[in-house]
Amino acid sequence: MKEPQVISFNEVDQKELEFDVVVIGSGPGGGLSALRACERGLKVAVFEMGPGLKTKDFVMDEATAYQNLYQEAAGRTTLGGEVTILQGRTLGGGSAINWTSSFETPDLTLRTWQEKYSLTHLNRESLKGHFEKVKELIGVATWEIPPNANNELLAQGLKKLGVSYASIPRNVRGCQNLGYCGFGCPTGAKQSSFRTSLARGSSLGASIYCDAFVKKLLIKKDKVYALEVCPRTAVLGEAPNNKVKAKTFICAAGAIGTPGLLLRSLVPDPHNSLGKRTFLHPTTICGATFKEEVAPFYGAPQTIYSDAFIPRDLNERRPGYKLEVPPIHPLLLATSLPLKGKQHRELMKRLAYTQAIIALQRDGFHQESPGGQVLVKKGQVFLDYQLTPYMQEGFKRSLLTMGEVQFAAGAEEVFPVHRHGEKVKSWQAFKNQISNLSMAPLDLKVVSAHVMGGCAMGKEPKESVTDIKGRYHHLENLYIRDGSLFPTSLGTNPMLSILALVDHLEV
Amino acid sequence: MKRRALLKGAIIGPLVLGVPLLYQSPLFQNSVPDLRHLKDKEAKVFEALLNAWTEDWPSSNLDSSQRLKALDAVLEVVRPDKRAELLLAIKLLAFAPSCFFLTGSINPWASSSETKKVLDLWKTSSQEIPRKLYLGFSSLFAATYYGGQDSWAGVGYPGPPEVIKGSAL
Repeated sequence: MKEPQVISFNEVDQKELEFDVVVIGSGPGGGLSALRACERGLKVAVFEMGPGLKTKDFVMDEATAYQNLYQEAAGRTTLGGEVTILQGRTLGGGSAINWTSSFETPDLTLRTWQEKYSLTHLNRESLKGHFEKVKELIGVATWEIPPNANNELLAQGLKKLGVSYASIPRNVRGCQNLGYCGFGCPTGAKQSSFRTSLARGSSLGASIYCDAFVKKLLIKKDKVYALEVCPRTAVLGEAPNNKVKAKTFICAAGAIGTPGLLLRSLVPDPHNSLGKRTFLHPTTICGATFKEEVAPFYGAPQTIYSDAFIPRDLNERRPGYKLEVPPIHPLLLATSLPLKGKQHRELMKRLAYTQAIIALQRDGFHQESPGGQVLVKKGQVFLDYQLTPYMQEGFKRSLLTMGEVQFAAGAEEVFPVHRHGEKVKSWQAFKNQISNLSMAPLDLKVVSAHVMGGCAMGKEPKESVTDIKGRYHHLENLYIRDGSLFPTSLGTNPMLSILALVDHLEV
Repeated sequence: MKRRALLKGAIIGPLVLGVPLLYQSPLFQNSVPDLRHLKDKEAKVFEALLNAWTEDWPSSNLDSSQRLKALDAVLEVVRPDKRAELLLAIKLLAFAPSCFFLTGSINPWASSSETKKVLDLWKTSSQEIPRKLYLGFSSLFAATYYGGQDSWAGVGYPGPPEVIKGSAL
């Protein structure tokens, strides 16, 4: 499909623009909402803060990619620096830079939403058709090519321990198995929103603006009547604002961007619930070196996973975690290691022989895992997120699991990514090390690539931010269409769930 | 939130008061051209920390002024409020009284072994501010050192593979 036409907001002369529907954010949720509105014959505009880069613009160079495609050049963190957050800031949002893992919403998550958050309309049956439709849209299929060594070693370790695992479905068409999904896809195989929904929306007449910073929503009585927009590069400057009027406004700027924009706009929030319960899937990392080359920088980044450590029961106390692997390129590894000098260098020199496992912890399913809060100070958006002792207990367990899997797979040395982490040669030594390490914030390296919640949907305005159709409770024509709608984290990679939910809400 | 604000206000806040005076000092004029964020004295602190952080590493192809330029370029893409925080920290470290408070020495930057001791102190500290300094500088230095292609060969990274043009395009 032909990629969409994009207009840089730097080149917009008109002081006032007018549409039927305005969508803020071009990620999976924004892209699909825009497409559905176009299919209804409406005049639609999409405003993306990031640059309008497309397939021909992507280069397989880390520094360039992080600077161009990620929020804060991939340096975004929680307020206290406890969690590093990788989030897209480019045409296509997260769908342009994710590692293509495409999972349906887990059963236990849907059951939790039904039983604890009264979202009875969201169940396997009601979502089935929507999952099928969006899978077709973004080309989700079983990955038939053998996993790269990084993934294969995860499978081998799990198999030796008798732990279940499976292949990850991916949203690619004609993938060359390069391993550079996180830098945008230079071949166009990845079916990100700008190759699918936005491409179709553009062919139906949607206007897609990039480099456009939406400063705030302008509100009169109980309605939004316009956006105040300026070029992104002029955010801190004195550039005059442009006004964008519309009948309907859709926020899909991601689970930090959406609540951030609403807070900045001083939308009515009588129950003070906006931006609260924001989730991250706080993720721990365990590295290992092997005798044979792993070349973890090449090949489809994520093709094997295990959900064996995710609870099956609604009343299970443990947080639980999903196991996957990350692609490992020099800059990502270098900046993830909280080490220095010889210790840092020695690990870097073994890059080609390094394997890593990540454990994505579910958050939001237990009262001691309440998520974080999006805050706005002087126009800047922050996420305050506390890593509670309950979560730290889960981190310790996850490191033990990952280390055991790596030794079972034949690792020569295993090291937890931790300020005081040391590489060790035996499972016993690793267990001893982990039992003595603090899991406190800023000791253990914790990362996130999945931000969710902050504008939870629900029936009661006291307990939620939007209604069950994703409409903001206190403004008539404002809708949310991204992962911020989730009342908990998912326990799995969120892109497909965002798409299916948006498709469900747009009917 | 309150605890953090208090910490910042109590520890960094009062020290900030000395900084504006230093801004006007001729010592803070740029001597390496084209640097947007680093001034002379701060650049020296940065360089000392970077050298101690990369102890025993093979020197990259970049000379000292190029490394500072690379560091300056990394600072350029850091979010403005975070960059300001980082530059404030480096200003405090370049100013003897506040440097003493944060490192236990008024000028540990002249000797590589002293600078290394500071990094060790921060790395193992149980206090939040030294830990943040350690982690903040570590990722900055890692990004500076490994952000360029000149570091690839030393870590056995062959670089990106060839793309078969036209397959999915």
